[in-house]
Amino acid sequence: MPDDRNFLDDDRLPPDGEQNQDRRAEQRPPWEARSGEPPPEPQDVAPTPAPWDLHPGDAEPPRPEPESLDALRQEAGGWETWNLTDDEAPGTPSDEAEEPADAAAAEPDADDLAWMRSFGAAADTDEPVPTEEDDLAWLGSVEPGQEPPHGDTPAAPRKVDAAELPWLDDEVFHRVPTIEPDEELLLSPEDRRAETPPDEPDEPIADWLSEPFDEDAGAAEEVPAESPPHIRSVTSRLRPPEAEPPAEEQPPAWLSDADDALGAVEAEQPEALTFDEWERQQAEREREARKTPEERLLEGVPEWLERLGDQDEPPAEPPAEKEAEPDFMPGWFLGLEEQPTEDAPDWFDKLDFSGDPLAAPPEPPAEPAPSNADEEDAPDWLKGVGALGADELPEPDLEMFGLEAAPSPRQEAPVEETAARPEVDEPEGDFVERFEPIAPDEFAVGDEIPDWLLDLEREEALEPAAAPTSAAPEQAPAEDSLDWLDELSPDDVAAEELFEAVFGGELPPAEQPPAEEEAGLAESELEQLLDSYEAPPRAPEAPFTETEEWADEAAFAAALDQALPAEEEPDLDAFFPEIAPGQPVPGLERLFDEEKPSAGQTETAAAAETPEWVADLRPADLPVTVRAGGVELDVPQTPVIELPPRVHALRDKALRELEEAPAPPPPAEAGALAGLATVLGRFDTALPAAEPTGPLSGAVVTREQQTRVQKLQALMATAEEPGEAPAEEEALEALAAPGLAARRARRARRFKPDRVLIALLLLAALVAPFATDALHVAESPPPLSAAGEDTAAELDALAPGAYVLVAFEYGPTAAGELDSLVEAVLRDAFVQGAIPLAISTDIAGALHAETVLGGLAGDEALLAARSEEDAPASLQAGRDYTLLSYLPGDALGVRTLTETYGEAGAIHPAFATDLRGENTGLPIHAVADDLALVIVAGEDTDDVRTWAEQLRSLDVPKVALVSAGLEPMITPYLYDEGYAGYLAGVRDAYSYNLARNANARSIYTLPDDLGFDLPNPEDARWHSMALGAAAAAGLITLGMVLNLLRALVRRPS
Amino acid sequence: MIAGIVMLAGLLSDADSSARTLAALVLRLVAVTAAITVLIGILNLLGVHLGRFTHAQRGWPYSIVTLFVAVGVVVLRILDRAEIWSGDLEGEQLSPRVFEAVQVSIESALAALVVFFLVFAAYRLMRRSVSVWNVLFTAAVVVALVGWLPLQELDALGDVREWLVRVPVSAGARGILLGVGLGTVTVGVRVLLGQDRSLRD
Repeated sequence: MPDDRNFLDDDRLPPDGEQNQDRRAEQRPPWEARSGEPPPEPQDVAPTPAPWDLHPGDAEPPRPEPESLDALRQEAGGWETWNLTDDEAPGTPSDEAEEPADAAAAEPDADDLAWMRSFGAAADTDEPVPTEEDDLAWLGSVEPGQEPPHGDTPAAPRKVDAAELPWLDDEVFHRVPTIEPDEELLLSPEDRRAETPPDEPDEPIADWLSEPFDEDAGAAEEVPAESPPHIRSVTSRLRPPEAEPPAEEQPPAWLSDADDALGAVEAEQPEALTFDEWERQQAEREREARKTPEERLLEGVPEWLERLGDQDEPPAEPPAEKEAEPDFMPGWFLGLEEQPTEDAPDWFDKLDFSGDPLAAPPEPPAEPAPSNADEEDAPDWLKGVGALGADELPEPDLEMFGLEAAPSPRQEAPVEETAARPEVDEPEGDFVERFEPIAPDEFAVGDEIPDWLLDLEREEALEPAAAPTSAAPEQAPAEDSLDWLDELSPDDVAAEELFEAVFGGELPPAEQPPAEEEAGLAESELEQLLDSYEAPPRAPEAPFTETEEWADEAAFAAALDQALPAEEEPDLDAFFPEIAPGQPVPGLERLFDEEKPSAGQTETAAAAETPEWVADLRPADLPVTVRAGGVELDVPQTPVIELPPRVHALRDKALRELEEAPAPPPPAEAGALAGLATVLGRFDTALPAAEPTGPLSGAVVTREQQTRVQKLQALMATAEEPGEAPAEEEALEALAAPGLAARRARRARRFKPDRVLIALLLLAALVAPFATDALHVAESPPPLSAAGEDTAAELDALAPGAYVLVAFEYGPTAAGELDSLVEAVLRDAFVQGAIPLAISTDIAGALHAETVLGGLAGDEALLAARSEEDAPASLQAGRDYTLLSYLPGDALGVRTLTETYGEAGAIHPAFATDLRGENTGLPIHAVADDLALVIVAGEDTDDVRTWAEQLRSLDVPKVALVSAGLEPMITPYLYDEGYAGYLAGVRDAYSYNLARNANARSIYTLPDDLGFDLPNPEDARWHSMALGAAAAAGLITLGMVLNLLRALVRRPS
Repeated sequence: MIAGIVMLAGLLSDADSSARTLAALVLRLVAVTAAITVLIGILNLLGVHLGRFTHAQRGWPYSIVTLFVAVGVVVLRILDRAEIWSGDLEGEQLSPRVFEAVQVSIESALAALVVFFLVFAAYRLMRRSVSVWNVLFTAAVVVALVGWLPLQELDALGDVREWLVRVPVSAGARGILLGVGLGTVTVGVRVLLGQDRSLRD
């Protein structure tokens, strides 16, 4: 499950193990075969949050189906090693392939690290062979939290996570080659077993903690007897950790939880890799997976060590020894030894441990050691190795270097122990705790000790006794000479590689507190180490130091004990105080931010973690996460230098204002905080005061808009319910415009006597002539005007039986004025014997024409004047006159009258039917030929104009009968092709009747039995009109005068 | 636009040409369409008022009157066409009488009321503001009215009135007619080019 990134995030995708279950069924490790949580793998700790990394099974290109088990192993990559050790017997070809690897690694490199060989030669006689436990003293430098001191679970090397370096760009970070479960970073099973606390833990040890050791013990029995123990130890250390079978049982729960949390964090942080980078990573991983163990070994073993092993070591150990002694060379050491000395950093060169009392024992110049010449070639940090003389202190395990270390007489015990180790069951627990200082006499040189080791012991014995001076000065060099190694941890190696990959240079030496390693030491050893520990001189180039506060050993030990109890499993929950079990860690930043090594040092550590030079390297393209109101938003950064000038000025101003101490707010005048100032902080200035409002949903409507909506709704209600709306409308109007509504209300109630007075006066002037003759002040109607005379002339020209087209282009509204005029002209036309043909482009006009003609049809005076008969018949429609149908099309319809249709005998369509739809039978084919006169009676200018314009080319006389108001508008059409004349209004009607129809119309007389004398209505109407006009003119003039005077009075002086 | 082009082509063509015939056909179609439109309008009017009556909405009595009058006029017209009247009404047409008795009387009365409003408006014309144009307008109105009066004492004003009608008023009317003619041409061209819609019924 550790390689399954989706076990918590995506349920849709099966775990990688299940995706390739069929193919890898045989390759699955034991812990994956059973339910539960398998032990985490080191590579899983490293952040690979890219999507294709999250699903490597999906992202990787399809591979050819493996043909054999070996091919499966090749494909399995990291699993091949355990498969070899578990399933294959020793001596398989794959295991034997390590031999040529060792041979290939034995190529000499005279230029490189020759001093190391001399060191081995120098130590041939005097230098004690360091015990195996001593070489693991470097574990004391493991940082707390990096490598928990627990048992058999493969220790996950602390990888540099992107979350730990937020200033690093993800892209840059992932360009760093992914640190695979480097074999050199892992402890050997032996060491792991040594790290197991000897005491019985509180919780029962899981079965998986005890099972693997049985297999190891059985495998150890398979070690050939001819292999010396120390050789087996060396060769076993040279084996990569893949040779060691992984833990068959599940790892501790706390480790799984931590891995789950880290996996969740990685899942939340998608990697920003380009496809090319990802492809390169995949290719590199594939190459890494296809590497044979030999290649891996060649990569892990430095050349100098390979050469030494080739020169001094017997042939390679059989593979079975790997199972018996699965130790290996620490990766951090291998990595360092690969570096040439001339490339060592300056601070390293400047270090001089020779002057340090703890670095090397004071050697008497009179008795130089035989190996001095050789030691001079060695680096300074190794000069004190041969001076180790403390019997009770663990010595560095020089055996792991494969050197022909010369054991000193005082260092025989480690050699003895080394020789006797295979026969002794290793106790479970920490390797330091099971280490007991062995007296020199307890050391026994076995037969298996090679010659070079015996020589080393002899050199130790010949060396001047520097130890007798004091125990402390002698043990100090051994400790101090490896102090720099203690300061290096696997993380440092990884960090150095990371730093080189990122910055192309060497990582400045950073002093790490050796908390983790010391936590695993025994109490006595720990105290001795701490007593003899002195802070090494800090390199001046070191850009930052994180552990200045930890220089004090007591404080360091206290912090160490507080952080990681040595006897108990580390409680990683302490690192996640806000995270419940099972809950993913929100971010590694938070994890490390909240990790407090000691109280009161958080700020110092934080400041030291981000020095200025690191801040300068911070990329500007990392987004800034802004959290507000539960919403997170990634805002891309903009470098300050790229800001616009205005924004830059605003930023400076804001910074200045923030830096300035705000003026203390005045104390509250009332309330619970009365008299207190600066209690509530600056929240009032940071956040604008806002009225508490509910959540906004939908459109926001202002009060003004609400008022408008209500007003519109009231208007609509008024339209539908007129009886109820006015009150509401008035109320709304009063609300919207109080002044206007009030004025309207006053105006509605205001009584206007002048209006009533004017109306009454005008009404009296119009009615009074009908009541009395006293008001008949007007003279008789004037004679016809010139236009009227022309009109009469046209009527006089009508022959009997001639068709006269009369256009009734007026409606009922103008009927009171025009009917009398039309009747006067028609009466004259009937007297002339003409046949009027009523037509109209207006339906109302056509209908009204029937009424006008119908009224003349029974007029006895007209009939008597028209016929000389005693009893003339009334006028009949269709014979004496014709009511033509409605003429549609307005102007176009009128224009059709000028046209001829069909043959000569055909009836013009406009004359074909009458108003009832019946055929007229009128013999009218062409208007110009068959019509004698066209009379247009209209109340509108358009009507009169249309007929005049459309019939302009028609050679038929035309006269117009218009209202008095239209008289000025008809004058423009009085020309040859237009109207021959016109009559306007009631006055012309009176004049025309008086002049032309005196015998053709009967005068209305009042009944004799009325009882009172009334004026003639016909004369009264005339005088009424005259008096009304005079009254109107008088009223208008009165108003004008009054208003003028009023204006003059109101005119400011 | 197509109809306009057809009609324009018909107007510019001879009387017996196909374009003129096509224009006459279009003109008849317009008349039929207008008749159908009137019929639809009448039916819609009846439906609306019938709905208001059935739902007892406010003003439903007026709807009853409207429905009754509309149906009555239609029925009366049908009876006139059927010539079912006998006795004194034999040979009479009642529908024109109804039309004259109702429509003409009402409209004539409304037109007569205009005299009162016009006089009162002229009386208050200069109440709010006194200007030269107001004075001129009011004076012209007074002269036109007084000059119309058949009074011998006011013959001079009659001549003034006659001059006003023949010269300035006629000139103004001609100018208005010219403007109307130009505007009509412009609107016609725009309608033919599809740049405008004819808003006239």
